[in-house]
Amino acid sequence: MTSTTTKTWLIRLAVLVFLVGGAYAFHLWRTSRPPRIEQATREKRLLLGNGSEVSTLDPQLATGQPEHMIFHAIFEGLVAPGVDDPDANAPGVASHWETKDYIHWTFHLRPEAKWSDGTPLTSHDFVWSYERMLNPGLIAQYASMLFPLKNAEAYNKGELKDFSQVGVKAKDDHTLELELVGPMSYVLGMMKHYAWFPVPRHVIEKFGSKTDRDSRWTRAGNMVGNGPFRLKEWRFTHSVTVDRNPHYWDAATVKLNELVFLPIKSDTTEERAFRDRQLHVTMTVPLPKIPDYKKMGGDVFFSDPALIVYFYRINTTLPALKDKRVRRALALAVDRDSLIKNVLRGDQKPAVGLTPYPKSMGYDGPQALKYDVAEAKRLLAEAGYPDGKDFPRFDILINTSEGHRTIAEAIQEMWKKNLGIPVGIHNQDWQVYLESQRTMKYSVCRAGWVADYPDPFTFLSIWKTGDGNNETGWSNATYDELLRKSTLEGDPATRMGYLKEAETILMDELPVVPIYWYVHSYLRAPEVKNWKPSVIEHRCYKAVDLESR
Amino acid sequence: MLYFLASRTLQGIVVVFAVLVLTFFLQKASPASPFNSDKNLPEEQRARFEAYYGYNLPVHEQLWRVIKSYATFDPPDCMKKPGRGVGEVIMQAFPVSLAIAIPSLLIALALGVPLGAIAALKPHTLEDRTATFLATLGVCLPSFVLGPLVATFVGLKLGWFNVAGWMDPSDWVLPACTLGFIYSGYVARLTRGGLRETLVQDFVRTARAKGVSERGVVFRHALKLACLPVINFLGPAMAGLVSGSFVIETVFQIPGLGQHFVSSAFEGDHNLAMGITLFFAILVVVFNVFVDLIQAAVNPRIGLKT
Repeated sequence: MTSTTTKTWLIRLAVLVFLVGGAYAFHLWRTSRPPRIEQATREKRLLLGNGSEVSTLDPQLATGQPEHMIFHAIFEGLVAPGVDDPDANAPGVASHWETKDYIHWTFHLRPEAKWSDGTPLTSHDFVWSYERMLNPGLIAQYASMLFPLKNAEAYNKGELKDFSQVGVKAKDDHTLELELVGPMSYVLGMMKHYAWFPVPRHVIEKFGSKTDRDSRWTRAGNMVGNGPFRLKEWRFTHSVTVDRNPHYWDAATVKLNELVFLPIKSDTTEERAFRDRQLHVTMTVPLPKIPDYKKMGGDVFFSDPALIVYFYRINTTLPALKDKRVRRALALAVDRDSLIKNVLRGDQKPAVGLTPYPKSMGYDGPQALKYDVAEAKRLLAEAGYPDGKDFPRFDILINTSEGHRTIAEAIQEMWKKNLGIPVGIHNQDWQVYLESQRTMKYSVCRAGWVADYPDPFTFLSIWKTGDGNNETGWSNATYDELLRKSTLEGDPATRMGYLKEAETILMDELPVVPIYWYVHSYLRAPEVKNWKPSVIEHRCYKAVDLESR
Repeated sequence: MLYFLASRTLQGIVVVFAVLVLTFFLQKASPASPFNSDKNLPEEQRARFEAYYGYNLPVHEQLWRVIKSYATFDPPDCMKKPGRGVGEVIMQAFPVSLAIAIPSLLIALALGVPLGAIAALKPHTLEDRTATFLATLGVCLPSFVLGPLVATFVGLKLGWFNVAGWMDPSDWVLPACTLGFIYSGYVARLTRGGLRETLVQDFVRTARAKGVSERGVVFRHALKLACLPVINFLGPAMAGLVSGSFVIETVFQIPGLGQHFVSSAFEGDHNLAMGITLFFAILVVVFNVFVDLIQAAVNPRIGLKT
């Protein structure tokens, strides 16, 4: 070997060593970074997946779940989630309250309650907030949440012009009196919904008029709240960061310094970020990953009950689906257990009625549905379609989603196998699907309903004659009457009896086929302490803490 | 030059105006409504919404309102995001998309041009087949497949970069590499085609006959001309990259423009969809002017055609 060749090879070797060494050094440098949650834990900064981007941070204009998760940090209502049980009705801005008949309520506000800029929070703020929410000019989509207040509905519809006629009065700075349309023992649960939260008049009026929908008052630097945290930073589709509110009445209980809400739309991205230790808590878990996490055991996968039902609407105005025997046959031919075990593979519960987890609300629903192919076949034959003969072909309408399609395919197969009914699946984009559902251009249509407050009324009221969310064409005078009676009944047990009777009618007539009751599946790092489950995802963030492992 | 720029500006205004009118009527014809949501609005509330956004006005008046708002550089607020201006949303997301777009394009060129050149210079050899295979892979691999693969292996397994988020200065690397690899496929194919076509032209043969080295023939004479299709492609590519890639932004959780583009259409937010569409149209017009300028500089025979 000549010296030139040796030199060439030495240079090549040196280059190779340099490249390999460089790659190894790069690997060491990059992998030595501490995971994001380690530093965040030390700084008591909770990193949360929050689904999608919030549409607004104005609690009177919001309608969605991502906003709901943030409002519990920056606002507080008269009633608040409990430290030990977020579903309990704990004192919030009101330290205590009383009622004799569940119609007239008196709330005693804490004298120490303040907005996050130090301005005192009084009962007049609540009166002004409810006036803004109900003002027809604001077009607040959740204004109906305040309809339990006497004359609120009439004021919101513009039929009543004088707000002093609405059932909310400030007796003095720290006493708020509410008069409801009827005896409502469950109104305290409703008050934890953000529609009932106070909003800061002194800030809103600085940035626009009372009914200005496009005001900038909710921006960081402008916004003022009254919750345990205050808005620090809001970067669109990036994050919403909140930090400690020094003026919060219970600031001593607050353990975290900051919460960062990250709008991660994709559940697979969120799960990857969790595995990369960039998130303390996820919003959800991809369905195919659930069996792996369950198999793995450990203390990161959680599956909490939730007040959400997945169901199919039936267009009862169509000739074949007008017959309740046909609808009953469709409902009985669905094997919910198999669907959950083989398709969904989470901890969902088979929906044997419409209202989920009845016992948690002190409600024992009718539990009317089961898987009974023989009975389904008998009913279908009785309706004139033995073994599905001559039954007109129809489609299940779904919006674009792999999950909805998989469920529809399983049910399509069950109806074909058990009843001999030919069923197709019609997929539409979200907006087109909503329009088809609204105008009832469908035969059977997938749907879901999330409770706004922990009471069966939130699930049952939409099936009243003429309700905008009914969308099935179904109407029953006895059902309407039972719901009406429930709103006038002061005794909780009797009221629940009326609601159960109403749901029994609903489950007999079946304008909807309940499929399953949701669970809230999510991942949570072991560093997170005092995170309590809630059927309605109420969060008591002031109780949550972070501890390094 | 001035005449060229003035003429193209005028043409651009016409194009953007046409896009505005077309988008407006497409939105009107679409079943997507900004007033549809999970929970139905009561009819009286729907009517109030329609009045608030001027949907109860005659169509020509609605169109005039849209034209006026953009002509006076006063875009409206988003319909589904109360209190957020369309211009504000675009201006916040645009720098993020730009921070991904520029390195993506550089990666695409750095990978694509040499790959295409190797394939063209050694046709029907192992090098050509390998380069063509890689280019085809870049073109065919959808971003929703490549993105998660890159995130899982480079982000999660190797631990070199964060798998998602826009927090650290290095968070542009994985999305830019993914997009860059995808675009490099197109660049490589265009370079290969362009170079092969150029290498058989008379001036190349003349250069070779005059004794110019092969390296000189390729780099001094042929490659400049061969890159014209690539330069042509850069305009729409840059506009596409700058207006964001929904899939890549979703996979890597990047707060860029692509997410707004898709969600505005999905939610029926006509104001935001119109704003981003116009922004995209302006980008295409601007980048095409740049491409024409570069082409004229590279090949004076083309000149500045108006």
